[in-house]
Amino acid sequence: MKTKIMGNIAIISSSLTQTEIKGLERHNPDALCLKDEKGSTKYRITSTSGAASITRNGVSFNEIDETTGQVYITVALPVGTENKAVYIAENFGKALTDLRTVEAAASEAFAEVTANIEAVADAIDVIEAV
Amino acid sequence: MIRVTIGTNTDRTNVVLDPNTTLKKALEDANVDIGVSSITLDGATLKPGDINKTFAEMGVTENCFLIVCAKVENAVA
Repeated sequence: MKTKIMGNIAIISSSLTQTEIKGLERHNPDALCLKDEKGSTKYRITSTSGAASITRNGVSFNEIDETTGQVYITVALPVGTENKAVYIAENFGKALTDLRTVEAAASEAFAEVTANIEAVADAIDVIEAV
Repeated sequence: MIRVTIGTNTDRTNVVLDPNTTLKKALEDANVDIGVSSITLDGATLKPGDINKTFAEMGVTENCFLIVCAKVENAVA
């Protein structure tokens, strides 16, 4: 996860790609969530085509870096914000901290999903009709 | 992401959703029957067509209550 501020725009990038997020949503959605002690989801990330969202409940990424495939969102800062880094930390600190936690395990989970799918595909014999 | 409390006559669950999810999909995913029900979002009764709008279009930014109250007939003697 990286946050860059250019002018009055903050760009929050995830280390995850849209491919990884969509793959996990399909095969292991729990890898994109944080759960509380009762097992209920308390934080979640997703990739969407609609409006972006970042709250203490999670992040909906709606942009994709064409070079790396990683997802990101842009957040507009109020005009006249003096200490922009502090503004981001105070308003989105928890969301960003939880995002980092999710990312740490999600990449490994996606690698496991990919390996499982490949193993299943390798075990399938395709017999062409004569 | 938004936290939606989906409530029915008998149950209440909390889910974390993409705000671009429609109200109808949220209820379908929660296995809530909306056939003969009145539905309120943060206390306001939905108007025709609102059920197909997204939470973002309905102005939800962080949390909300989506309550489905089934209408049942009274006992007939």
